[in-house]
Amino acid sequence: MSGITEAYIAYTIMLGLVIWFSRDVLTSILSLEDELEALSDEEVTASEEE
Amino acid sequence: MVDCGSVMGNGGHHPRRLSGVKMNFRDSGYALTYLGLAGILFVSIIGLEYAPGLKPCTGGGCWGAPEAYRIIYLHVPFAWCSFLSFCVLFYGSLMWYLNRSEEAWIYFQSGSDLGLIFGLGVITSGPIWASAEWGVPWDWADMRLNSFGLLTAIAVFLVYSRQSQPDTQQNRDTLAAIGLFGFVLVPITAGATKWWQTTHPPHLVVESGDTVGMSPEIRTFLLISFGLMCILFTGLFLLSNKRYRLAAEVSSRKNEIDQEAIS
Repeated sequence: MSGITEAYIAYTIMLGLVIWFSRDVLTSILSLEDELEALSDEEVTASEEE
Repeated sequence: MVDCGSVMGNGGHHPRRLSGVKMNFRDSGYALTYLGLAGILFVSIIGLEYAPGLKPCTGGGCWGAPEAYRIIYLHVPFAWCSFLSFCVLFYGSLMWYLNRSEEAWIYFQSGSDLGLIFGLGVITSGPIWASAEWGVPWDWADMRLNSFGLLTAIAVFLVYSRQSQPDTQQNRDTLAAIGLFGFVLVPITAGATKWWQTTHPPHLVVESGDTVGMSPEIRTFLLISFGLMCILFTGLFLLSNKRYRLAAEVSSRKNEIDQEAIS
């Protein structure tokens, strides 16, 4: 047994972890920016109504 | 609840550069993350297919699974980056106690997230290599394995607690205390193979010479891999900080709107 299969499995797990985390952070940033923009719009609308 | 209003310190104007003209170091998180990811993919391909491997047999005996040795090209940089993450966690915990500032808590959150991701990478890839080479995935007598496992367990606990418990100052104090004391495990884990020599390999990368330890080719490729992993780590750290800054600002804005609605 050379262990190359185990090496491929370990690399897949480690790469999967960093790719998943990067994707999670980037998605969160996008959604938080959208939420912030929606809150700003809400504030503008509220002040215009006043 | 903890007041997040102080985090931005800009009178409620959010810090996004809509024009895209003004750039600073924090904005380089995207570029560093993409560069780091590309670098790690490159390291993976080279590490699995082309990087120098081990001779199956040497004067000291034969390896059980010489190709599984390629795991170290990512495993070791993951382990070192997890130590960097726990340093960030320690800094965030300490600053939280000293300043009670939102910025310190952002560091704490990023440090615990990154510690968890890199720690999980280490404690999954390590046993895969160990089961191929040693025949057992975990050696309970090995100090480094056990202390690193505990370190990762602390990161799991911190991330889970942050997500499941109310965000109050008391809870932040408790978690920061665990972050501070958990950091004690970092030097213990780093020095474990020197102080308690069991099955885990000793400080091969640092102490290798021309005649002792790993070959210069393997060590050079390992250091290149660590350099690229550091780029990814820095990118993820900056992006994670950005995420928690935005989250704090959203929370602060919502509080302001609620207060205005009440008054």
